[in-house]
Amino acid sequence: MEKVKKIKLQLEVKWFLAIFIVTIITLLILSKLVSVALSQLYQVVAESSSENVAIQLASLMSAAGAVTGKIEIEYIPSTNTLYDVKIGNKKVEAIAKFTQIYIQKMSAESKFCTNFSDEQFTDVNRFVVEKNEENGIVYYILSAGRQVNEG
Amino acid sequence: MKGDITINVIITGLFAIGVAAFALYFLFKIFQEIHTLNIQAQTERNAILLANAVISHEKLIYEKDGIKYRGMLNASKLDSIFKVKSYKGFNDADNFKNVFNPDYWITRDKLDLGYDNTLSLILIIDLDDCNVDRCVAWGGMTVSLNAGELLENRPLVKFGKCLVQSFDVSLGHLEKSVGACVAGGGLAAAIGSVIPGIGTAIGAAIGCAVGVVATLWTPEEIGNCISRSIPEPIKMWIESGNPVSHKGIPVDIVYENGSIHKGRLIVSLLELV
Repeated sequence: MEKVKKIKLQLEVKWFLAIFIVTIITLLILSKLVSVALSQLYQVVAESSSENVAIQLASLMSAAGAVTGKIEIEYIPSTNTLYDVKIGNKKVEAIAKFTQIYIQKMSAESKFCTNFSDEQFTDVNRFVVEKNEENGIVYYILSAGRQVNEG
Repeated sequence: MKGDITINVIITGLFAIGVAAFALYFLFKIFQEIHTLNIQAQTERNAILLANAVISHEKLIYEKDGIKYRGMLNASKLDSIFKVKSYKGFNDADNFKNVFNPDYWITRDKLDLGYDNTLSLILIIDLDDCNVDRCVAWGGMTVSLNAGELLENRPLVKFGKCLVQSFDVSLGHLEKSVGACVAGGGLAAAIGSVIPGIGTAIGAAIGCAVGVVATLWTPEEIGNCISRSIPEPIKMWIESGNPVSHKGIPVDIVYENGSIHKGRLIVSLLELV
């Protein structure tokens, strides 16, 4: 009886070791795939995150001041994600409305140095930054809309 | 017997928990690194963008036959906008210290560029007219202060706002909080029942509260909020050893007699929030 118990225990240990080794090997193989998947996820999130959109938009609004005369810049951060954007006190505040629940839902702010007036846009993903000059007076205009994903 | 908790089941379970915990740690670590990279260059980027806007500004650049030349600054316009001008370069401390005097700040009607709650120091030096005896340089500061925002963005207020923003209201989080309340409450009730003067009910209430508070935010969320609440000059000082950024770009300075000198424009920012 004791011998049967011992053999049973040894068998269980062997099974456990076998499963453990197979799991480790599988994880090692999958680690490459996981890292690729994570980089792709990072790419998508980084490109369309609140922080990135706030920084990009504020940079473009500042960059509009770096041209003499006129300029019109179009910026579409993502066709799948919509944003709420608020302009005030020379700052852009953006909130990305990701549908995925695992992405942190935080707003982000970024400063710009040019003279855009205070505005607020809801559910937009297409921005047009304009600089115009009329009779020696410079105007900065930001307009926003929604770009539909045609794909 | 079938369904018994054996040592194997426990080890396998612990192993699975370990793998899951490592995967979560790995995921959070990656996102934390991405966020840090974004923050690091903020002041430098702002300084570069402002410098580029300054060298294109209509009130500073050289114009001829209706054409505006970007990067070519008109010396006469510089004289009219910058109240501090020196013929001894930046070594002229007695003169250049005036850029911090509000009476010498560049007003918005003269130069409408700058960031809110940021001291933007603009320095221009004529490199072709700069030697041991004489060195032509201009200096000025654009300042736009917003008291409300300065107050609102105090580190503690900012930290509190960040915690509120990152609060998770999902069902999973609610379940976690209820579980922590039950576990904390049960443990504290048992301890409270044996300590005279506390009692089971009070012990359970305290334990439940501690359990709920402990599950409100993850260490990553708290770390993220601390990182976001540190004032920009302190962050700059930690990262670069200097609280202000230093960036310079090459410019041409055109004088009234038509001569063109090589120069350099330096923008330094001291961001207050």
